[in-house]
Amino acid sequence: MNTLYFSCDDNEWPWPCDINRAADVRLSDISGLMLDKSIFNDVYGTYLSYNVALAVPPGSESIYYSFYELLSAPVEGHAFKFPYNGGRVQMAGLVSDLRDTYIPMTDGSYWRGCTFTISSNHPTKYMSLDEVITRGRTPIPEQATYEDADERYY
Amino acid sequence: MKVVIGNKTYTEIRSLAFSPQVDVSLNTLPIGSFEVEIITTDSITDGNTAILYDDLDNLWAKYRISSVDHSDEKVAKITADNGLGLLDNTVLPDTGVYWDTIANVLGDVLSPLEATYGSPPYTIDPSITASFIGYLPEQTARERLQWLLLDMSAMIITMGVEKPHIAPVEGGSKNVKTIPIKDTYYKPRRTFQKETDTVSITAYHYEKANNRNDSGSEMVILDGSLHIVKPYRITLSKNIITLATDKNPTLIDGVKVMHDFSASNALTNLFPYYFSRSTVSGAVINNDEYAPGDWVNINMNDTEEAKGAIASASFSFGVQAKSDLEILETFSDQSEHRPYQMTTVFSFPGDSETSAIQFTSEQNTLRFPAGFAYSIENIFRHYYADGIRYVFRPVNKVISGMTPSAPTTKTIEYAKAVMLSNNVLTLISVSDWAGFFNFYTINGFSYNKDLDIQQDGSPVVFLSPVSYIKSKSISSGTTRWWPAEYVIAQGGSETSVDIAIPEGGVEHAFINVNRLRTPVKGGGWAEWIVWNEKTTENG
Repeated sequence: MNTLYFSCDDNEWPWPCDINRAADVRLSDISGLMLDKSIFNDVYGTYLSYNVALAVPPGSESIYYSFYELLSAPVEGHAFKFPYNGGRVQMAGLVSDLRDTYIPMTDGSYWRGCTFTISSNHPTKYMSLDEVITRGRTPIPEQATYEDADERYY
Repeated sequence: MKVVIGNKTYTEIRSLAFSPQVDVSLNTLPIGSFEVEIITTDSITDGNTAILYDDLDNLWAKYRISSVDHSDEKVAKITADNGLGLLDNTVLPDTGVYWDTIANVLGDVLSPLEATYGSPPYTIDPSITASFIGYLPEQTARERLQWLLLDMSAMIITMGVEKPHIAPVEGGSKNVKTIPIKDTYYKPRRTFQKETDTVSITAYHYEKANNRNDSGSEMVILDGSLHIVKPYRITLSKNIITLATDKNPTLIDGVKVMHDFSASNALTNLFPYYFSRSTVSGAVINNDEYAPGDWVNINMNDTEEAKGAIASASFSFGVQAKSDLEILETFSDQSEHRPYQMTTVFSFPGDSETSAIQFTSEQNTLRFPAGFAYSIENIFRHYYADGIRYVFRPVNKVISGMTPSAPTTKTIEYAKAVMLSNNVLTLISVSDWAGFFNFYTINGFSYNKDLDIQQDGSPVVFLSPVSYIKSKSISSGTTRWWPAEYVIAQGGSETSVDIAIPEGGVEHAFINVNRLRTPVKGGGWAEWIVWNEKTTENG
């Protein structure tokens, strides 16, 4: 398998880049404190986000510029592919915080240090209402007992 | 959640709020509704039906779209409700008496909802009594529905049903659902309202009259015949002491309950709310498990529970659903479902003149909760047939007692008070308690006509206008004449009374009774029953 850095709308980024992954288990507004002092988490799903830092080899500006135009398009999302564990994940995502820096030079100015964040528009993992009701709430363990000065059991 | 409008299903919902309600205390007719914002460019119009489903395809509400806001071209903001507000726009005429089933009457009342729910536009619990005897004045369809619901002791449910469903309101809880503490948000609260010891309701009797007006009673035409409307009170209390001492019982009012059974039934179903009068507000996780009208146990804290009927449940949605509940709380000693029947038997003097009197059995069977005190005002009963009018007086003005824990029978004795036949008025006996003894005009009353009087030891009441009235003492046999504007006899001391009618007679007389005290020779006071004269036909 070819090394995938990432792709946007089937356009693969050809050079190495830093890719940071984050997963957010997002709660609905009806989550909250219950009368038995437990926390009720009403989970919409797990939403991925990727933060990418690009490096552009000299002379490759045209590819960079086309990617920049693609990423900065005023659309609600793109189709992305990102590395995910041992494989890849496909997700629809919104580009945010796209930044780079212009370096003016007398013998050839260039852009560098491009970073951006992709937030998925849809949970990559979620449970149906039926599954949520069937699963129920996670059992709360017995109150922690302190048995030994050096060890605690939960 | 998803919304189906016509043949299209909308799942892109930006926001949803759902507020179903019932009124288990039968005072109002709340309108349930939901508001939803759908991501769509479709043009949606009001008047269509919007059906709310959850992700498990359970129906939550089938409502009529009352308004749509398309100010954002990509979003439709829809408000839909159960359509009961439409009933305000329909005025229904005076129907006269309905010796009919509630189901047949409901069809006319709820017909404005047929566009949304089809025909018939409702379902009804089979446990609700089918036959009613009542009277419906001119009123809006919504007012009429409210009257009928109180008469049936029923509520109308519009959550989770294909059509509005009419279900009985139970005075006690039969199926109580317990809300787990882990599903209850922190923290429910309780609001107290003014508590009452005694609650009372006015029931209405409709008795056939002759074609003469009566000064004190409301008269209506039912089924082409003149009827007297006779209101009387039925009261429920926590115990005999509070029944005897409570001068101002809380009155269930606003609609006219048609007859004894409906009135006592309403009291039996409503008293827990009046005797405790507290409301518990709490939020719970509610995936279509608890609906308005349900009885629930809800935890107030680690150790205390509250119980009562859900009046409203406002929903907000995530993956699951949360609803803010308003619960009308009752206390355990009052909310146990334990109404018992008490059959009231009206015992009339058995003679050929009155043997034909019949009062339907359903009017004679009352229902009260066991262990509580009751009282029933007894009214004069009129019976008119073949040109003869009878007035029967109850031997006791009020009957009261404690409802036992098993069905029982209570006999209400009646004595013949007055008979009017061929313009001859026969006064037989009247109880010595004050009150309105409404009677009818005496047309063409001839003068100097002696009336037959039967004295049974209680004071006798006479008509006016008369010139003089002669009374005769039991002990001395002495007769005396009294001025016409006074009444007639004091407690048990007179044996007979003759009435001299003025020359020329009178066309009409309207009679009312009030108490009057006058001094008597030798000291003390005599209680008199006074007749006041009205001489115009219209009173």
